[in-house]
Amino acid sequence: MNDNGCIHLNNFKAAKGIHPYKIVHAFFVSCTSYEARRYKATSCLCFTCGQPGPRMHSCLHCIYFACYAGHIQDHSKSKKHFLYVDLSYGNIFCAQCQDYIYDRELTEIAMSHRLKEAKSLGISVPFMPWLPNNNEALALRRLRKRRLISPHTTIGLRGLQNLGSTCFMNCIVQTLIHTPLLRDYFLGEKHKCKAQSSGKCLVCEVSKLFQEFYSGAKTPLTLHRLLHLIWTHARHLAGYEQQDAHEFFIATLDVLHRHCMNGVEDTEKKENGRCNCIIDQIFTGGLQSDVVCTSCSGVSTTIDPFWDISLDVAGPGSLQACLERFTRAEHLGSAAKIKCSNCRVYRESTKQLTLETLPIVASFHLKRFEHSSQIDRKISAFVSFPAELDMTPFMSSHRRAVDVGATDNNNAPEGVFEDNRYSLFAVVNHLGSLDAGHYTAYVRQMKGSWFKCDDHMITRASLREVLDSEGYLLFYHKTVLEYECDVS
Amino acid sequence: MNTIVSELSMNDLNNKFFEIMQNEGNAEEAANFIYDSIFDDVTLGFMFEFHHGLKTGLTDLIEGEKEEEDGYKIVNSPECDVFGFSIMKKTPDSNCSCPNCERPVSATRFAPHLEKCMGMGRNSSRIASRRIASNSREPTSYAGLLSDDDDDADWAGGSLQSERRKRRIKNNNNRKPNKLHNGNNRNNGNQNSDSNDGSATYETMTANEKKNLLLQICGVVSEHTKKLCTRSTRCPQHTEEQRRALRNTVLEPSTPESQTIGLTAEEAGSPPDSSPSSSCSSSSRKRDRHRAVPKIKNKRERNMSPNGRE
Repeated sequence: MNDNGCIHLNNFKAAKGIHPYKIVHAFFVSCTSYEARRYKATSCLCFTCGQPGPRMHSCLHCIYFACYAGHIQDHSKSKKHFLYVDLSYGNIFCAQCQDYIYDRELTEIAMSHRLKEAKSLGISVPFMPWLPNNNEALALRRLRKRRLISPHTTIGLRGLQNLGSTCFMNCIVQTLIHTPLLRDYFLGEKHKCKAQSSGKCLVCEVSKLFQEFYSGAKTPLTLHRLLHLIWTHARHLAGYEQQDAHEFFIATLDVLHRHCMNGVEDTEKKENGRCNCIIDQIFTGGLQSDVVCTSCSGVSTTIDPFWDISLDVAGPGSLQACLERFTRAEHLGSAAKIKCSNCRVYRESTKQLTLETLPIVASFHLKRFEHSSQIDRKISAFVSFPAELDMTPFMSSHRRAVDVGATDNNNAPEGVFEDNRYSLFAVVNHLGSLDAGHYTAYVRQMKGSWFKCDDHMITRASLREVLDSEGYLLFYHKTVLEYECDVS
Repeated sequence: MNTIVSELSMNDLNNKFFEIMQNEGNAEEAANFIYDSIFDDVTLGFMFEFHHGLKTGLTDLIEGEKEEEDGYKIVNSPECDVFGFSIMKKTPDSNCSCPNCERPVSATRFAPHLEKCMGMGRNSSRIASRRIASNSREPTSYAGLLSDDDDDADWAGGSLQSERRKRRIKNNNNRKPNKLHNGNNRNNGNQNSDSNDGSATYETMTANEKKNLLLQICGVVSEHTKKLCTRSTRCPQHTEEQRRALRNTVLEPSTPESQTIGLTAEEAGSPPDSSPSSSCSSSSRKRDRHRAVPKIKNKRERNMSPNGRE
C-alpha cells in the first residue's frame, strides 16, 4: 500500500512540518471546537469571488481560501504554492502531480480530528473507511488469496456430530455460527482474551469454531470441548437429560456473556451501568412493563433486560398475533392485587408489556411444551412466521402513541424514523413427540440461501420449506444497523 | 442571492440571515442550496474513498485474488448432502478425548459419558466418588472407605463391559423407577439410583478430611443405610436444608467453615445478577415480574423441556 504522499508533499513536510495541515484541518475541515466552527462559518468564502463554493480549498503555504472553479488554481500558479487542502474532507491536492495525494501521517491526523469534532458536537462517531495497519497490510500482501462466501460453495457450512442426544446443542451452535453480526465479530478476531489458550474460555472456543466452519473442511465437527465448557459453567443444566434447545441457548449466552469479561479491564466492563460485551450488544433488548392502578391511574414502569421472548402458541395463528397478544394490556384481577405506590394499598391493576429497546437479534421461543403435574404434552399448533418482520407495532413508543390517539404527523411518536425491520435467519424445529424427539435447524448462510442442519447432515433448503416448518425457536436479525449513538 | 463579503461577524451573519429569509423565494433558494451542498459533499466523499483505494493500492490489497472454488462446490444431488456425503450412510464414529478425565471416549456416546464423568446426572455418584477419592490430597484417608465399584460402559472397547451392562439392566428392572427430571423415560442401561454407595462414616475421619469431602459431595447420611451420599453438592435427592444441617453437625467446632460450605452449593448454581433473564410470557411470569426478576435458575421449574432424540 502506497500512502506516503508525493515528493513535493514530503519536501514541504521536511521544511515546515505537519503543523500547517493540522491548523487548517482543525479549524476549517473538521471543526474540533466551537471557536473553530465560528471561524469556518464566517471566513470560508472564496477570497477571489466571495462565493462559498464550489468545493472550497485552502492553500497549505499561506492563508488563502479559494474555490475549485479556477481561483485556487490561479493562486497556486501565481504564488507557486503547489499544495492546497480540500475543505470538505481534508485531502491534499498537489498541483505539480496534478492529483490528490494521500499521506498516512496526515490521514491519521484527519481521523483524530473527525473524532474530536463528533465529540464536541455530541454526535455519533462518523463513518470512516477501514485502513489496515502495517501488520495487516503486510499480511494482506503476503496472502493474496481471498476466500469468498458464495451461494455455490460449502464455505461456512459444517456438519456437527451427534454426541448422544446432543442435537439440541448442534442446533444452537448452527444458529450462533450463522448470526451475521457474531460472524463479523469472530472472523474479525475481536475477542482479545486474557485467559487465552487456557482452554477455559467459551468465547475462545466459539472463536475456534468459526475458523473451523470457514476452513473449507467437510468432515463433521465433534463439539465435546464446547459441551464440557458449557456444562462446567452452567451447572444448572444438570446433565444431558435437560435437553431443551431453548434453555441451552439461554445458558450458552449467559456463559459467553460471562466469559467475554475475560478480555476486558474492570473499568471498561460497564458503560452507563449496562454491559457492553458482544453478546449483550447483539442479543439484549429492554422489556418495559407498565402497571396501571385501576383506582388512581398511577403508572409504575419497570424495564428489564431480555435475551428472548417466550410466546404462548395456543390461540393465535401467526407470530405477529402472538406478539400482539404478548404486548396487549391485561387486567390482573382481584386475585393478583399489586401494591400501588400512590394509594399505598393493594389494588387491582392492568399490566402491559412492550419492547422498550430492540436487540439486534430478536429471538422468539414458541412455548410448544407444556409440563404440568397431570400431563406433559407438545402443542403442535400451526404458527406462521414471516421472512421479514416489522417490530414497530410492539415497541413502547408506538404503543404510547396509539394509546393517546396520536395518529397525526404533528404528534409523531419519538423514534418514528427508526427502522425496525427484521429478517429471519434461523429456525430451530423440534420433530416428533416429547420423549422421542429430535431437533433440526434451518439457517440462512446468505440472503436467499438456506440450509437444513440435521446433526452431521447439511442439505439445501428453500425459504418456502423454512416458512412451512413448525417452528420452535425463531431468530430474526435487524435488517438495517445504525451507528453507535453513545459518545464516550 | 446577494454576494456576501468575507470576514463577516457572527452578528452580521445572523442579521443578514433573517433579512434574507423574510423573502419566500430566498428561503426556497437557500433550501435548494443546502440540499445541493449536502448532495455534492456526499458524492465527493464517495469519490475520494474510491480514489484513495485506487491511488494507494488499498483496493487491490483488499481484493487480492479470488481463491479457486472448485474444491468447495456444493454438491447438488438428492442422494447427498452439500458435501457429497451419502444421506443414507451413517457418519463413522470417532473417538474423542474427554476434557474431564482425558480418556478416549466414543464420540457418539460422549454426552452420556460426560454427564456421569462430571458427576452431574443421576448415575454420577460412583464416578464422582471415585474421582474425589483419586483427586484427594490424602488418598489414604477415605478413598478405601468409599465405594469403588465397576466402571461405566462409555470407555471405548471391551466386551466385558457389555456383559456388566446387561446385568445392570436386569437389576434395574427390579427397582422402582427413579424420579425423572423431565418425564424422560430413557433407559441408559446402567441406571443406578442408589446414591449411598459410599460406606464411609464421618466418625472415622479427621476434621480436615470431612471438610474436604463435604466441599465435593452432598454427604447427607441416609436413614436406611446409614451411609453418606456421594453425589454432587447439588444432588436432587437431598435438600439444601439437609445438607446444611449435616454440615452444622459434622463440622461443629469450626462454625465459620460450615457456613461457607453450606452456601457454596447455592451460589455455584445461580447465574450472576447482571445477566438478563429469559423472559417467559406465561401468566405466572406476568404476576412475578414486579416482585423479582425471574432468574434462569427458577425458570427450570416451569420451563418447557422437550427431550432430544434417543
